[in-house]
Amino acid sequence: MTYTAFTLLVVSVLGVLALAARPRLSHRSRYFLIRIDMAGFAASLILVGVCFYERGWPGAPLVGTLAIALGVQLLLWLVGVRSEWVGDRHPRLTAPEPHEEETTLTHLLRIYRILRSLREAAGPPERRQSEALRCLEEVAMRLHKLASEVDAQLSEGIVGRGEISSIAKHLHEEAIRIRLQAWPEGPPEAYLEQEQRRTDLIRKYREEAGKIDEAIVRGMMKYPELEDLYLSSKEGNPFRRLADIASLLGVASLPQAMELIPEIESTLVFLTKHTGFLDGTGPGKRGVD
Amino acid sequence: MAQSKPKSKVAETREEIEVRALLRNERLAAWSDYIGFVTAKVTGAAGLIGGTVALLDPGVLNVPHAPQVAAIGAAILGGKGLVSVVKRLIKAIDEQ
Repeated sequence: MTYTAFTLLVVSVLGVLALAARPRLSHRSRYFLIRIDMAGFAASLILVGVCFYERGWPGAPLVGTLAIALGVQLLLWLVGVRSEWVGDRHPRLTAPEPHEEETTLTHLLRIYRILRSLREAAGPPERRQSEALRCLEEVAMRLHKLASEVDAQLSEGIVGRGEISSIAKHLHEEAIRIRLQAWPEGPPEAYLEQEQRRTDLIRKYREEAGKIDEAIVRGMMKYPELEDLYLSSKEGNPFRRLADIASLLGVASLPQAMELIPEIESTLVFLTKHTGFLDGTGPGKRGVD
Repeated sequence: MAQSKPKSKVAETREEIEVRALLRNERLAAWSDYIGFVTAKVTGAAGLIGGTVALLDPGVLNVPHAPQVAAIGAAILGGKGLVSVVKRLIKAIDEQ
């Protein structure tokens, strides 16, 4: 037992060092190896703690218990249990409102859309000459990257709701700052004229995007099992695709949005036929995939 | 002089509602975080201090299984740190 515990401890530490030395491994291999290695480390901590008790080493009740408790905490965290007791909070397990983090992410997307629409409204690339607009574009790209990172971290369970909310607030403030920076005295006349011509069409597909967003949220609130289906990143998942379309619509240029219309129609028909939640006619057939 | 286009009442209201919802969500999440944090730290600190005092001088405080209580308190208090280190390590290796 002692031999096994310490061998496992040494092997897991060496494993981390080997992985940190940037071996030529695919991302997927590294992803699994580091997690298996950490699980080995946690198991070795528990075994070392047990050894303290078994061998009656000095300080066994204190050191042994501490090692076992830390090992259990680490193992729980590695298998996905998150709370204030064992590590960073996990929105899926601790959220009092199951849809809250989704709503916050929707806010993130909405803020990003505001930025993108501001950029689009500036006209074709050759007209984007002013320093302010170039700055706007650059920061919009940076925010897009940040929003994607946050999204990835949320699905990994790395960030909690509080952090997401803070980031959302930060993005919101950033959006206001950028708007002021781009047009300190309000948008120029040329922009206003151009915007007037585009408003009707843009509003039309923005409204559609909003409806899709609302329908997804409404559907998930009505049928909690749909949320799991939505959150699973299975290829061809109609909910996931619909959400992607909604996001695309929110940021796409007008021609790009037009290209999406047939796909939107077929997805909506599919969902309405199989679930009935989009038109509010009831549960229908729930096991959609 | 450039003039900003006045927003429609609906758009203005919608934006205000969105901002209010965002702030409300943030307040709720922050409270939830604070309560969880304080509960964990108070329990951890109580276990660690109580267990250590009982271990050093059982006459002052009589706690059954004092070493274990102190160890569990220390784990609750500091376990998150270990998990955070592991999390950063995993993230760093993932991002290589």
